Amino acid sequence: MDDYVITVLSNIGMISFIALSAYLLLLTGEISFGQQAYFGLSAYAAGAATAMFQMPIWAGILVGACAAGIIAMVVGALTLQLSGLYFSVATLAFAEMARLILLIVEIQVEVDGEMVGPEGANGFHGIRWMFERDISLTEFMLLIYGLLALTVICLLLVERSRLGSVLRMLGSDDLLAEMQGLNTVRYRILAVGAAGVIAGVGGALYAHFTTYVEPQFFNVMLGVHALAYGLIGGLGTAFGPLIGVAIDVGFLEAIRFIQGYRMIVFGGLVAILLIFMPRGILDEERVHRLKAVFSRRNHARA
Amino acid sequence: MLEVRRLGVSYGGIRAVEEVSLEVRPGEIVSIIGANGAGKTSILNAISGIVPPEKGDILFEGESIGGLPSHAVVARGIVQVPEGRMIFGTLSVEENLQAAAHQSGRFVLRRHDRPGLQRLFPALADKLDSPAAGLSGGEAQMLALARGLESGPRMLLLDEPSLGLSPKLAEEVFGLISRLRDEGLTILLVEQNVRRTMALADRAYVLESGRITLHGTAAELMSDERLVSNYLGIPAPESLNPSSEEAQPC
Repeated sequence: MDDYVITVLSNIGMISFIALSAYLLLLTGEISFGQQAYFGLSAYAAGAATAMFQMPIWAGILVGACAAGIIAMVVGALTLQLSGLYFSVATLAFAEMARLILLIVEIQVEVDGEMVGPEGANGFHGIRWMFERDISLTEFMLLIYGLLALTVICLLLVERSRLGSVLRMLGSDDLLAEMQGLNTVRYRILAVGAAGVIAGVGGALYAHFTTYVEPQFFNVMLGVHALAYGLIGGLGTAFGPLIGVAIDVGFLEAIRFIQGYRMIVFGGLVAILLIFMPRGILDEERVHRLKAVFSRRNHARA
Repeated sequence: MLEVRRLGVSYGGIRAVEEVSLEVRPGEIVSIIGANGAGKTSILNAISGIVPPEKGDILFEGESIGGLPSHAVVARGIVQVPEGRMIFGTLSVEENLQAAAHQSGRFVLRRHDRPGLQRLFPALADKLDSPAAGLSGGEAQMLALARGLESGPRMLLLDEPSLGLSPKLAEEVFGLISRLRDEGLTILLVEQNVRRTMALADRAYVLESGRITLHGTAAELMSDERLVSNYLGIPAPESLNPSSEEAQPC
């Protein structure tokens, strides 16, 4: 594989994390326009951990993901009083606030005679873990897909469990869920925290893959895309948002001649799907049907 | 077991329940009957914590539960099965049941308890994997009831369980309610089908414009003229004069 293909595949993998993060919240019925903030904050935190404090990569990812999860839970506790549109606007406001703060944060430390750290609007250079350890792009891609597989497996297990049903209950009728004896606020905070962690893992990987992050990358368009991936790919299973990412980054990247029209095609695709398949390609009904087909096949084999 | 004391409920300044006091004793089926808008559902919603009581108090087994959040009320052992067969359509039947089963109660009707499900809800036992959205009206109501039992309540608040069901299915629901009482549950029942409800209930309260106007045992109320004429649609005896009817020209 040439570097270009590996880069595209790695991008698909890293963007998948933020898509899964937004998807988890979509399941609970919350539309967040702010998941890019956790992706971005974690990119900075993880970058700082390895570049400024010489931590190993796994610790960097852990620091980034935990920071994102904790901030998400705090923001969640403050904003979950709000419902529907108000929650969406609050998440957007928080994400913009976080991005603007990153634009002015300047903390530099000296590492091997060089100044490293976030430089406000100039971004955060020198997250060179990959080069220092001589890690190839292919190896890093494997790390991305390993962690992505782990995340997807966790989400699939959650979806099969009682917790998954509870999250979908919150998404379809909050009050009715509360009437079943579910402490809906606690489950929601758990969900925003987990969504923060997932976005955070993606952000931490992103910082180390590109070696350089800047606040501008974590703007609202990233969050809007993250939402769209779930809505395109489907809300019936965690594979849905992955299909969404593959369609956008993969397919649209492949047909390069539309280059300048990519956003138009993407926007049109979202609009068409929302009209004809409001809950995406792999929505709950199709997932049910697919499951039925597979279980019948297994029965036949047995 | 449950005592509602001088309860008042308002929605945005509009009074739905003026002042209601009622009592439900262990093992009873108590019914609240009244016209649409009399405040029946508001009483249930206040008990289950969906709306806070504006005044008065609600005691369950001697402890005040007025104003507790819904999930805390469920944890005490009171479950409301709301009107309109509210189920989670995108989830399968089993997922609907499973998610609510967080307290290990006496009635846990999940897959491992197929006999229990088979006995009380035979229609659901074979449909555990189907999406709940595909259930018929009767099945959906059975699912709502079954789900209400999942958290192991001691008391059920049933809001119009027979609404919109065919007479045959409504009969099944009433049969089930009486069986649940036999299993030891206490039931507060809100119903439009007064005749059928009175055959089932031990006692009943008649609610008009947010106030209790009559209460007593089912037998007492069924012999009360006002109730019979207002809620059973049978004209008062004086207008039953056959001669006056015959006098009408066709």
